[in-house]
Amino acid sequence: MSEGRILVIDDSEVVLAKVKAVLSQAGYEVQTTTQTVGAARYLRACDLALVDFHMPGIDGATVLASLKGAASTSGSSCAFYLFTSDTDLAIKYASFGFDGAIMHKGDQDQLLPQVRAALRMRRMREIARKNKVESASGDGRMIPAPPPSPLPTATGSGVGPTRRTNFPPPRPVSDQDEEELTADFPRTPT
Amino acid sequence: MAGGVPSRFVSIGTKLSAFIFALLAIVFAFVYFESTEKARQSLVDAKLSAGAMVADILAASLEAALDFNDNDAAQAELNRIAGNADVIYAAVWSASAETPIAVLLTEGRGAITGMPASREARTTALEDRIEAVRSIVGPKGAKLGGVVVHFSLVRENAVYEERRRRLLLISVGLTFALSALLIGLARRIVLSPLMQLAEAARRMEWGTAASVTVNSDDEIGRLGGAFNAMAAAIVDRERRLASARANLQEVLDNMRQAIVVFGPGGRLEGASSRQAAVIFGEGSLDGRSIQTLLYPDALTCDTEARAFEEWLAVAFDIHVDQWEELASLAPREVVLRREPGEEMVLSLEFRPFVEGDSIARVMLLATDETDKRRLERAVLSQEKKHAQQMAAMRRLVASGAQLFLSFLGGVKDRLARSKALIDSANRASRPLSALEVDEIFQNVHTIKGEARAFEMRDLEAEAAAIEERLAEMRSMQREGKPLKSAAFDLQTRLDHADEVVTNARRMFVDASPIGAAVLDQVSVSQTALLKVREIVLAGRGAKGPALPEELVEAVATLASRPFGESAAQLVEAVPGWAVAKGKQAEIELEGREVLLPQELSPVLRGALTHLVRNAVAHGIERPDERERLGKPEVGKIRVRCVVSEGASTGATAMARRVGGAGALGGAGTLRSEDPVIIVEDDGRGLDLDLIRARAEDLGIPVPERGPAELVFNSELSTADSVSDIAGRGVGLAAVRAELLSIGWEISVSSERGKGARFTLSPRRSGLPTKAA
Repeated sequence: MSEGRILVIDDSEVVLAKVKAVLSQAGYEVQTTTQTVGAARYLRACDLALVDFHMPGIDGATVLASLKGAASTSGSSCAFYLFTSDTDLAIKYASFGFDGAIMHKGDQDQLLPQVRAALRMRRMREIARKNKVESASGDGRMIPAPPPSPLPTATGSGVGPTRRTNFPPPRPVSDQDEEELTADFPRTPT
Repeated sequence: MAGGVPSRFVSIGTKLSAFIFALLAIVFAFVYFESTEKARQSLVDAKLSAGAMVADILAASLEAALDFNDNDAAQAELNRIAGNADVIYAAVWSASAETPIAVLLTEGRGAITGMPASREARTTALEDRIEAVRSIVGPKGAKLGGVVVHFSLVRENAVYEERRRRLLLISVGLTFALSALLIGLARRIVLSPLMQLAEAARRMEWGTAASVTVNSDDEIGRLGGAFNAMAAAIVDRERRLASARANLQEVLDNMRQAIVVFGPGGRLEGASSRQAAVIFGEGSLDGRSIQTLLYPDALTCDTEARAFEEWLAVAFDIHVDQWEELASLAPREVVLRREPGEEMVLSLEFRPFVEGDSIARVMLLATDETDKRRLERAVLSQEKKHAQQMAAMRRLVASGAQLFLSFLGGVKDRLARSKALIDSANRASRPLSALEVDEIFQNVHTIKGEARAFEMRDLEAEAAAIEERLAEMRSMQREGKPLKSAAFDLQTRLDHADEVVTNARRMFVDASPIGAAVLDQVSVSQTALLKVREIVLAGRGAKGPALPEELVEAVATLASRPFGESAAQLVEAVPGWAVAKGKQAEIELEGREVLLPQELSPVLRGALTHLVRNAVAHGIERPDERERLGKPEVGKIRVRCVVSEGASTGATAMARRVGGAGALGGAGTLRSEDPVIIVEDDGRGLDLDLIRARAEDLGIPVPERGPAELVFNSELSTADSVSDIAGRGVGLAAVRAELLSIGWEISVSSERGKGARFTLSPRRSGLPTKAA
């Protein structure tokens, strides 16, 4: 069983190859792409998406807005993390609409602990969400919801939805895509 | 305890003293007033009765004077009592007159004159006197008048005053004295021991051992005893606690892990291990935040810190059943980066302290795994290096040792040339010229390329670094900037590259078992060698002066090939062949180093393949059958190249002999040192009866050397049915023909059920041969 499914979007093949090597070795299923267009089709089975901010012709926030739109349509609960080596940028992750930031992009040693932490955090929130539903339906056991993020989330910040029109809508998943998707992320019944 | 002290403290001693004093004061006041009152009463009473008597007598004596209205007589009667020192006033009045008819006033006795308010007969005690009033009655009962006499109480009052003062003094004195006595007693019996107890208790509170002296067997004494017992118990318990604490600390301190305990809110509490101070810094950790300890200076966007913060926020709110799930979401590792480049890797383990259904505190065990991680990395990098070395070795073998040696030599030369250029520049205290830099660059660039070809990564990296430095120098020269006069860093790097080359030579050549042989050899084109051989053989056969035998042998030796070269491929192939046939087999090679004539090599390769394949296919039984026969499951095939008896082990000598006796020898005889190749297996062997029967069927005569020879018969061996029955495949006739063509022969021997043996040897004589 895989440790988790991770999508990495970056314009550098070299970066992607290194990241894929590190994360695959750690047991994650990794899908990498330099293509921002159509990346949304990988989201359905994805736990975590790392998105580079500075990509030629398009910035991470725009990519994110599109991906998030696609994720909500497909019912994906993927967490979106800003993937950067720029600390000043990382601090502002929330204002762009990201769930967090994976810093020190160039340092392979620091990648894995951060990815693990991001997935742990996602899991904690999932449990909290589940427990909330259960407790509402009468089950007493619960892990209370985690404290809100110290920074405001991007909803309504103007970065996302207002620019969405500039970005092509996620294209429908074709049969070929389906095959690719299944090949990269074999879906196991949960 | 501190909370129980009232705001205004009044000691029990003060209270008791006040109480005793007040009580005694009341008692003595009562006694005083009672006794003084009575004393005065008795004085006045005595005076009253005396006064009454005097007044009665005076009234009787005045009867006649009033009866006769004789005022003078009345006055005379009054005067008679003037001698009484206590009488201060007396007056007589008649019934008919309002004013007194006779008055006695004693001077200086403070008399009060005038008639009394009431003329009723009475004797009354006043403040300072006694007033006695009497009626004077005639013989016939007629009221004649009255008399009043005042007796002074001054004397009695003085006595009373004196007595009262004395009583007061006594009362006050007794009050104080008794109070003092009682207070003293109380102090000695109760207060002092109580104060001792209080003091001892206070000392206990401060943590010093304390006890009280018990002098009595009363309640206080028992209290003191109980206190002493309690104090002893407390001291004992504290000693045990301290010892337990010390033990715990010792256990904690001796643990490899940093152990800290934190409660809700993530604050550290209680004891922590010595390792905790080593890892998290000196000073008290109590009250410090676990979040800050594990993620110091973390940015708000630090994902690891955020994940732990969220974890911490829920860790103390969960039901104990959920701990396991939560623990799996805790960080397993954290890297503390204090200084740049200084990393500490901690593996983390969280354990809960449960109270009721919830988590009260969490213990963190942090193990410093920095060294372990460093070691792992070192091992990994060593493994990588080793892999690179192995690759270099493979490349070396593939390219030929000579090529490698010439590469090393070339590198050495280039390095030496480059160093010489730098040396001369340094000696002349001048910077390298552009031409010199270019030349060194060329040298180094070549070294880099060659190093890459041989997969010598260290050398390649070193060359690349030098190249970079040179490129820098070149660009400075182009920009017209002056170079530093000495290029010591370049020299150091070149020295290092030189060292790498020396090490490579040492490792791959000097220390290698084949190194010496490799060094002894030169590469010669095989075509050229065969040409020489041809010339030699032609010269030998031609008429004219005979070529020296040594020359012939030396040429044969040069052309000879080791047995291993032809047989090596079998080692890897045999298990695969066996598996394909549902069998298990292994091969054992012997005599790889024995040199064989050059022309045997190509034939031998095919022959050995044929023989060994046959052995696997037809000789070796299936594992179950072998087991039934009591043989090991894995069949064994031995392929040996031996020098027949008494041969020296020197390869060159052997080859010489082989060369002489083999192809070169033409129709020579097998000498005692000639090599023999034996292929044997421990399989089922040949079914000679069947082979013979088959031969008879086909009308083939059985050879002199026995029915086994029939397997080389082309008519018989090409028949499919026999191949299976005989336990040998087809084509042995072809093998024999091939061998015969180069002057070698093949024979077979077999023992039913134990195996077959094929022997290849140079032909002795008799059989026809083709020219080589």
